[in-house]
Amino acid sequence: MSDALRFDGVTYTYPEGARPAIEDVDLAIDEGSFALAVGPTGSGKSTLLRAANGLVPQFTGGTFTGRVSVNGRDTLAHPPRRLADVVAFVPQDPGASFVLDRVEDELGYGMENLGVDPVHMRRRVEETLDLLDLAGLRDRSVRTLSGGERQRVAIAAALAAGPRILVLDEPTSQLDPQGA
Amino acid sequence: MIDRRAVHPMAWIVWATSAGFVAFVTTDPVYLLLLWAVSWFVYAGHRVDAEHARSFRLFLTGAVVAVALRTALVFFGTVSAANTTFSFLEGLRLGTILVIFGTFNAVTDPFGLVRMAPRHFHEPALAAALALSIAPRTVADVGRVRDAQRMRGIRIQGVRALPALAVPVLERGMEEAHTLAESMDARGHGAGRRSRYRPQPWTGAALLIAVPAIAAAATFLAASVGGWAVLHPQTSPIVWPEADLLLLAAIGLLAVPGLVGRPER
Repeated sequence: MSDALRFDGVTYTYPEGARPAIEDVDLAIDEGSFALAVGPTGSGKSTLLRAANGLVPQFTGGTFTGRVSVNGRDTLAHPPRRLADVVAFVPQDPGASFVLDRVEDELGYGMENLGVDPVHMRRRVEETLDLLDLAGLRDRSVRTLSGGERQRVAIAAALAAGPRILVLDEPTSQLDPQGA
Repeated sequence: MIDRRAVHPMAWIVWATSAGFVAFVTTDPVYLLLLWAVSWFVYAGHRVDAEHARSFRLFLTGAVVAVALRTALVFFGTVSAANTTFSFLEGLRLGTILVIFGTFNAVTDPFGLVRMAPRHFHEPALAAALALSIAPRTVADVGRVRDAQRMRGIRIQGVRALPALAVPVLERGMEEAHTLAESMDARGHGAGRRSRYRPQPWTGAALLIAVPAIAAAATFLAASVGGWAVLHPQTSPIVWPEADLLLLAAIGLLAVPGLVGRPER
């Protein structure tokens, strides 16, 4: 159980899917490692990533067999919110994950839900703002950001929560080649 | 100068509830029309660039439609000047409440409200926030769908455009609400533990929004209970509505937030 993220024989079919979106996936990713999922559009990359914190199948329904565990916790036995301290997920459309209006508050949101104490929280927010070069945007409304800025804020918000596993769906889709 | 984010969201809840109460207890068009003006004034002073603010126009349109529909109900019965006026005033009251709600919607961040809800009320507060954010998101979606249709060379105008517009807009709205709920869950919303990143203090600006509003509501409550002013002008026969100076001043108190300044952006 030392693997941070583990898939055992995972097959998943969407409620109206004729064929499985992902089939018989075995996967073990150690802590501290970096893994990349590559494939053409529609090959199930997003489904695979969304299964990592239980959004698939808990929010999608459908038929799921096999087992996914994060840090030893089964994603079928724990709702995504109970895995939030271990896995952070940044969806393909970075704007879709924003809950609060202000960049700085958005970075604190995950930690608020985890009950991190305010002093520690403020320090983490500052560190993350500096790390991703977002200090200049801290007071901006997330709605006014460009695509690339939004993406960086979404990644920062995921990082700030201090997860052991960071799952990024197309993290460079909004960045120009130089930026990426 | 106040920043709307520096204002305790509860101040706006108090303002909207008080203004809504005032509209609720009267059908006097003088007071009601003044409330429309006050709502617009407060909205103009505090609106933000975000999509929320654009929804004010949606509520304004909705209010005008509500007045028209409520008045039109008369035509199902015997039409007389007296009951047309009565219906119109009832509609005006409903419209006023909608306009006040539109202002509230435009000046607050619904999810900011969720954060300050006590843990017990977290789920209802979330449902309320999702509902509050529907109007601004719908406005934005209508714009996007129209743009997409225009790019494909689809040009439908007016009422006939509605079916073609409604389906994608509703679909998008559902999808966005779902994605948001998903994202909140994935980020630990409702996991039980909770702390506050930046506790919001009751600033002078927040007090200036809430306290005069309470005074306004209290004045109307006193008039309603005490009966020292006419809140429902007679419609049969129709008489010119009265305007009590004290009550006019009370409505003026609701405009105070509009005076405390625009957010610095």
